[in-house]
Amino acid sequence: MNDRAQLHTLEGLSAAFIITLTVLTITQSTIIVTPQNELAMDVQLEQLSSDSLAVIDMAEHGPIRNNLTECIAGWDMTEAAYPDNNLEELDAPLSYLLPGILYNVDLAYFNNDDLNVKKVIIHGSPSENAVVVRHLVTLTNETVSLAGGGWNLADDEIKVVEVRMTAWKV
Amino acid sequence: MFDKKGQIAIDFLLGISLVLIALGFTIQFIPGLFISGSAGESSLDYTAYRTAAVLAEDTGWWENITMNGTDWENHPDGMLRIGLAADDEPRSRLTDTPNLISKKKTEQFLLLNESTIIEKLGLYNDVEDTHFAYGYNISILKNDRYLVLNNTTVHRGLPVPGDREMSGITRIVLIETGTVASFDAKELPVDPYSPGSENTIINITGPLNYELTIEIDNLNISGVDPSFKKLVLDGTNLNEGTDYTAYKVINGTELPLTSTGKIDSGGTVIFRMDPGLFSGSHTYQLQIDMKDITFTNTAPPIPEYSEQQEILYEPAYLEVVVWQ
Repeated sequence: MNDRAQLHTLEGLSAAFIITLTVLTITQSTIIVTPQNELAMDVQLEQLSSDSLAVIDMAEHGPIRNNLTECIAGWDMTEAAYPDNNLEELDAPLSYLLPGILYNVDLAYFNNDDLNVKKVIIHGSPSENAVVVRHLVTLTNETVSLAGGGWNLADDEIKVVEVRMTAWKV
Repeated sequence: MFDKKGQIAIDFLLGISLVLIALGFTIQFIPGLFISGSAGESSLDYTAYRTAAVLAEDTGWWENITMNGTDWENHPDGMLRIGLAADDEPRSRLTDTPNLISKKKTEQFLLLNESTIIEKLGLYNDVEDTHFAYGYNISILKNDRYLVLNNTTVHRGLPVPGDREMSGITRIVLIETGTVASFDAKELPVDPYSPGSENTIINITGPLNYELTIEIDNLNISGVDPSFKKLVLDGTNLNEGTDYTAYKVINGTELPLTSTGKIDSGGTVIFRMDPGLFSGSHTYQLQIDMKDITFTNTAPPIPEYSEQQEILYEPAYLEVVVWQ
């Protein structure tokens, strides 16, 4: 019997795996998808959430007192436990900008080559149609000591922190 | 002799079935993945999304034979693209600050004529080379009301009709609404024209046609009922609510403050002043009367608002709604 050019079970499995992986990579890598009918609501939520982090990051005066970098720099390094949250400075402007939207905020950063993901704001468990948006901030020893936070950074150290917000409508 | 040609091997059948099942699962699992959005109503979604993105994130562009730049608000005749994002460097072609809306660009946007807006923002449907304009409503809202810049409401287009399919998107933006000056209470002088160390004074040089915000922090509390009493401009008492509104900051949030409300220690007080108060071209003296809060410095010098002022950006919602 000639076995050449045949697709066998294991190859079928690996092909299936590759197809699934490719499609998932493509869909996950797009930051904001162009709206399609079913996705219009998600896009609006994702856009608002991503805007709110961007806007807080630029704020200087007015209703938003501290910008995102200052908020994160002022974190005392302890994790939040529901229902208390641990970053009131960030929670206040977020709830001001996102009325009717609930959110959790995690901070992700590298410490001694280990990835730490810490919860800082918890408003509940996300519903099915939650979206995740990310914004990066850069901390130095100067910003941390100005904001009075607990990051122990060396003078020449730069810490990049990912602010990860999960948002959902209620 | 058994002929095997033209037969499907069972292994192959199993393998290809697995591939098809995986493909089917992926298509089912991710909604809208293979739906074409180019036809029908969904193009409204695209238009609303695109228009809001262009307005909030793009600076716009103008050019003529010799020059070009992003400062199209100064050259509306050569305008090629409309965009409202602020830009410090007009030749840079892009902005470092998306979602930061320029006041000048917004004011110019409100002056553009209808056909320019429809043409430049692409608010039309192209059917066999004929343009059918969409109905649209573009506005900037702050505290659920239309934002007012220089006595003009920031609103273009028609009221949203309730009886047809439409698509809208909201963006959060920061918009330049006026100026802000921050003062350290320790550096503010005791008002030399009225007795008592609980009053201070600030000079404001007119004419000013935008909203003023005065922030005072580091207040030195000296009694049990620290509060703010009144504002006096050139000897005239100002009306709370119409001439100015007062706020205090607690935990990073602004809360309204009335003349009887208590101020917390180390707190910041904020006064928003009506621009109409400072229309004359001379120096106004604003006297701030407090209770159980003392000032220690001696005048002169009396601090001047314009020496401390910075641009105030406030969060607002940019709303774009389009319909057929």
